[in-house]
Amino acid sequence: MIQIHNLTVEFGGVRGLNHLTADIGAKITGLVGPNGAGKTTLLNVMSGFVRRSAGTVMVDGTDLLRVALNRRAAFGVRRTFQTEQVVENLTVWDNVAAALDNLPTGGRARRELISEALDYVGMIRQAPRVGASLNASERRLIEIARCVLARPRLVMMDEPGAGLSESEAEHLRRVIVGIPDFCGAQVLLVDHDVDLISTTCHETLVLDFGSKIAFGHTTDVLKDPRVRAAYLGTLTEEAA
Amino acid sequence: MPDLGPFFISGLSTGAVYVLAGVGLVVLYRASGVLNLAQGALGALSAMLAWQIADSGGPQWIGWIAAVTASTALALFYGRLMAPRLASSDPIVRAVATLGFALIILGFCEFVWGEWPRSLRLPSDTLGFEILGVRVAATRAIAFGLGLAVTIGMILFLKLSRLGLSMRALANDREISGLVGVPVLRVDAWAWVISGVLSGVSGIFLANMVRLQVIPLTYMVIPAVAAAILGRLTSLTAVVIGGLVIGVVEAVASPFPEISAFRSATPFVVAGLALLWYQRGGLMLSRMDQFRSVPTSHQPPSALWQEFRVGLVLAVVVAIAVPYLASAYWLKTFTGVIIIALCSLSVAVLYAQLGMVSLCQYALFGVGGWVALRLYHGFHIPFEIDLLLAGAATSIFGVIFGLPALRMRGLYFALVTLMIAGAFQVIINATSFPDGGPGFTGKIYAGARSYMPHPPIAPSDSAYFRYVVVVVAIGFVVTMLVQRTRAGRAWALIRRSEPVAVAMGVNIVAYKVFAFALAGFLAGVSGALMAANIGQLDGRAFPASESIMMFALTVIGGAFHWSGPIFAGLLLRAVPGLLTDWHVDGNLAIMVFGAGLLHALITAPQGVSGQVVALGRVIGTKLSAAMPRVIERKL
Repeated sequence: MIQIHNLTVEFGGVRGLNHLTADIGAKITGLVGPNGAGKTTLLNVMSGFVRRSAGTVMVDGTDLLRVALNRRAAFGVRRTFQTEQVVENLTVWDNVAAALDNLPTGGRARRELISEALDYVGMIRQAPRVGASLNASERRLIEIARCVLARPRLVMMDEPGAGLSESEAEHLRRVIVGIPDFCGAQVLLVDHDVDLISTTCHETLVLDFGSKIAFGHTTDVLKDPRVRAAYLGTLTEEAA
Repeated sequence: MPDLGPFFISGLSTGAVYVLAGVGLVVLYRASGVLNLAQGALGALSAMLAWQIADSGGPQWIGWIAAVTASTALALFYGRLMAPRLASSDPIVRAVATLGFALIILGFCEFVWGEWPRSLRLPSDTLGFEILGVRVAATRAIAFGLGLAVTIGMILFLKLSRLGLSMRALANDREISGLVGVPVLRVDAWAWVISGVLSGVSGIFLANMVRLQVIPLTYMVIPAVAAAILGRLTSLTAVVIGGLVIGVVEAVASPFPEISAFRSATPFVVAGLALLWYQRGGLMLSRMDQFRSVPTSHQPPSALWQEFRVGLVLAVVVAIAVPYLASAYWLKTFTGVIIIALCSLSVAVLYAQLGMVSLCQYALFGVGGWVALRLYHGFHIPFEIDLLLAGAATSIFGVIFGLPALRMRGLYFALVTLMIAGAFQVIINATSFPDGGPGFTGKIYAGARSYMPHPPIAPSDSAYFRYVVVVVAIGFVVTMLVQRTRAGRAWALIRRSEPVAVAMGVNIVAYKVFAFALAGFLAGVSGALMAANIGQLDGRAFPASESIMMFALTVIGGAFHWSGPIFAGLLLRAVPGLLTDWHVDGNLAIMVFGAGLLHALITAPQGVSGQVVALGRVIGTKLSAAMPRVIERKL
């Protein structure tokens, strides 16, 4: 359960997030909005890269923004970035091991945890390959494997589907959908691909200019005229 | 209290020349993103040319024009032909590349003119006037006026002229400026011209006012860099203040015997404090992808055991064979090669693992030597314990020096380390190494100096060579193993991108401190080994240039493979010996090293070792492909 309350972020005079309040309870929640709506800003506040000016974020009853930056992964908040971040001079295995180094293993063998995560994303056979040799889709999968290790609470993904072929996107979709059952984490998915959002996310939060303009079941939200207006620009205003 | 008036006046004028040079640095850095560390070398070249023409009987003014033209042409040459090849690289890579350029010019000047003391007289030296009872030579007045006039002129130029506007646009964003039609290369070229003219002019003034000698003039870039740092490499007004303050403090300290030996440390101290002040805001994460342009190795470290086998066989062969084959002179030289390889490894750890450029590892090597000598002479402790303590003490220094870097971007870290190397040079020159005397510094000023002997288990030179091979091999193995632990993986993440590392739970501060500690330890142990190799160390053998050379040769040797530091050791210690044997001027080697650094940064990021390893793989596959055929034929 993620409770965002009155979250506000200011960049100089610009509001990156404007009094955002939302209780995110669904297993997979989509986060959509036009460019500059504040989606990545929200993720960055949760990761600690951007400071809030006001508000709180509670994850499973803990005040997330009071957890030290480098302890948030161990606490259970994991993420991927818009640009892929696979370490090119480490093997696939070591890329995942590097993530596990800073996570509690819960008494289980490291080898087992890493194999499970790689197996889950379908990359276990690629374990000895070096990061530099991976293609875009494989890199995305490695990043997800790093996120689902060792009991995460929340996995945040920033446009994971960008630049993938249709079959790769289909595999990615299955991987994302399975995350809550695989490791028990909630998923927060930022993407522009409405198709990906509507087929994976139970609920969707729509932001525009840092404010919530809609939040609820994905199908209802995507039908909402205000959401369509935000996405399609000023079309409705001109019509009106 | 001595009369400080004359010192103050002379300091102001020297400071004004630092301002001239600093303005050149800042204008170029703002427009092209290159911190031109070759500026001092360009100044040295122009001063030597001016002297040469006057000395050959030519009219002085022709000498000046030729000198400034030469420095401008060279700056333009570099800016047009070399710098664009690195235009998309990290600022640190672009700055380090100019060190390669500096080495080429330095080697050339030394080759042609050598280090003889000369003097460059200007006609304005004999003119002068009095201010407040102090006689002021017209040269100094002109320098002061020129420093201020150029700064004001440059501020107005950047503000009012079309070219100045383009330069400011480039400083803001190169790519976007290009897109909106700013002729990037042409504006760049003008910035290099300005930098070349200012370095030539400041070189002539400094040669007249300080001294006409190639190496000191080359290092005159340091006070200029310090002044530029005071202005965060952008503010011209701050450069004026910085340059004048450095010049005055340096000069005013000279009549005080207690501190005058240390007065040339002023720029390092001023710049160091400024850097500390500017980064006080708190932990600053580097931008995403910041280090991408510092080359990374794409070789996985997975073939570790294979590498160990090759390395250990090599070490055993070398340890057995070299003492039989080499003469006494070459045996000592090879011992030095192996020891230097360990110091080079400390540079490689920081550069290859974290993408950090440390220009003070040779100074840390000196710290290790100092501690080892001090402890040996003071307490006669067992050699191995001395070695470990020297390593540990240097490791502490490494961490202290590294601390500012925790909050600093790459270029500033490199500059801090350069300032540390410079400050170490001044301090060790003034205090020198302990040689059995009393007191903290342990100096013997009259009478026989005592030596630090080889360890008791390896008393002869050949035994000590083998001892060194073993110790250094342990150092390499430990470093390679560390790279395979969680520390190595954390370094890889930090290098990939600091925000990603933090998001994955890496304690960036702890792992960077660990890297500094490890690098310091390696440098300290190698310094202690060197102290025992020679028996004593000479303070004059630790100029900042050695630290720069150390870095350059590590990059040339190849920082990403264990064999790279060994190539670096050979280049630094064995090549000069070979050249002496062949009666070739060692300054040619400096020029070749400079070119080698440029080559490595521009086209061969894996260095010599990368090429040798690739060749080894090719031969390996050819052999294994040829083998079955050979066996078949035999059957």
